[in-house]
Amino acid sequence: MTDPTDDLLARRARIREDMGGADKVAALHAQGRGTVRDRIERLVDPGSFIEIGTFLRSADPAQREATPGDAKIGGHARIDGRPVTVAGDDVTVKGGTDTRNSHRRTGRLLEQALEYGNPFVYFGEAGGSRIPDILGSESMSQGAGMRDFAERWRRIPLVTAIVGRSFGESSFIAALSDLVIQVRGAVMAVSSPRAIEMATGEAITEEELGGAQVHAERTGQIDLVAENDDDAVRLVREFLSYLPSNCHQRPPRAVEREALAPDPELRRIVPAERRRAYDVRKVLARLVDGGRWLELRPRMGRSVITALARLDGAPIGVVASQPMQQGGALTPEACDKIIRLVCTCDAFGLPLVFLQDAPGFLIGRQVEHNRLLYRAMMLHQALNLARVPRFTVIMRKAYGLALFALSGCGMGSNVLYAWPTAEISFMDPEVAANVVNAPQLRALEGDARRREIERLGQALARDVNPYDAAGVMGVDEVIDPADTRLLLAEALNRMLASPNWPSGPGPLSKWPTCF
Amino acid sequence: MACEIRAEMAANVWKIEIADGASVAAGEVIAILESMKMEIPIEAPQAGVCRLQVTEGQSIQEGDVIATIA
Repeated sequence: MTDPTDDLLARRARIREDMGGADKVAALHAQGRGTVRDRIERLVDPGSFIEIGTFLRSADPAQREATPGDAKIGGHARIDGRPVTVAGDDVTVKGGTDTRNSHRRTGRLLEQALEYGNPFVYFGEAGGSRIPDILGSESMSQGAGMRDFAERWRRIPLVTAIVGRSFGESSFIAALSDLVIQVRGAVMAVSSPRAIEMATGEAITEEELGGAQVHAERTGQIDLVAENDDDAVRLVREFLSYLPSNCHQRPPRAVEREALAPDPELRRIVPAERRRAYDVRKVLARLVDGGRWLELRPRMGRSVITALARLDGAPIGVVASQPMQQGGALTPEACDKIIRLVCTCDAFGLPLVFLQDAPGFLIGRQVEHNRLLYRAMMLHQALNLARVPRFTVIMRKAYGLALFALSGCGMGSNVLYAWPTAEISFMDPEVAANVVNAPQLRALEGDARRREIERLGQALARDVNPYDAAGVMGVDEVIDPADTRLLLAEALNRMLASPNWPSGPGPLSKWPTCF
Repeated sequence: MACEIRAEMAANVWKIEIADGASVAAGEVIAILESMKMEIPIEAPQAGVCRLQVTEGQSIQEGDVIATIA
């Protein structure tokens, strides 16, 4: 008679080692790809993975032997010593497809993660719902698995890495996440090209339909592109390092701090010539701890940079105008990107730093038809609902609606500083010169017209300086740029002990993750 | 290590600031692009001999090589 424990260990080893078949595991490794187990092992602290649902299998008796784990695996573990919950699709079993049964494990894990306040990480490459299991009213009337994820409400961080061909549930979980990473070569969509071609005759490749480049540059449905599995794992860990485990905790503050001192180099980054662009990353490099940050959505709405960073050890969100792109003019896509960062930071208690140099919003048919109005006002609503401290520095241009959209004057920022190079007005002086003097300019042409616009613009530019704003308390202070890091850190430290520091779910916690 | 400097946005090449084949220091301005009424300085990411791939007045697209440094 077999010893019951020996039997358990043998069963368990078979499922965990062979997964959907030793040959399938070997084939993945031969392609240079990992299994979901490999990824989890690389993500979590060594030896910390505690699996549940090892013995789950298909509800269909005929498929029991062929479905170890029922195409998913999951459990609890630690990252940097902190508890996390992690799950993913196992493509060695029925293409990682979704069933009602497999969702029992994922649903239970999410329920526990929410109850204990632990971040949830998902490795997605599900081939969609398993056919024929899903077919028929008995199955469909049991409801949808992603409802649990939709009701997370940012109480815990949810991160999805799309690591292979993802259709169906893993794509849905991604869309409901705070951070979506897609590995280059992976595909994320609702329907596969095969299903699309059969239904509509439209022929499209996976890369064109839902490749990393399409999502990073056009649809905006992912935050980061990873070069490979290891890169994805590194990005998950880095993102989580900035966040608390749940909305009731404070973000983890680094123990080691750098000395805070004036930095004269900050005086030299903004060019004296107002038409001259500069790379705002040079400012960021001197402002945040270690000159290190995690930029999110780098290929969308590129006239602003949104990032997570640290200031005096405390995690912060940064929104910085990028004059190298469209002169820093705001666009509908930039608004979406800022809202996403504001929601994440507000839900998890990270203060926001805004660095302004925006000549305004981009204008014209394209942006208007791209719902500039709605998206700009949506950003206003998000800023007004935010509870975390906001610190704003007007470095140079702050014109029109962009002044307000980047948490400028009158928008409730806790600290509002201007550099001596700041220009604040309704519109750029040269544009204003055109508008105000349209009749007399119509009579001029070529160089004469250009010179006259410049002259009129210079006259109007006299009152855009920050001192007139400071004269009516429109900004808190005009500061030496060299003191920026020091002053922002002091403001942060002043507020960290506040009894009003936000904790628990706020209004923005329920803002949709996909909008 | 040789490196390529690529345009991060569609723009016109407004000014070339160095001679083709010149030795440049890291951070030195190689060219100034013009886009959206803004002048965008293109700086050498590293020191080396700079080979220009564009001329003044040329329209370039995002991703185009502006210069190589070896």
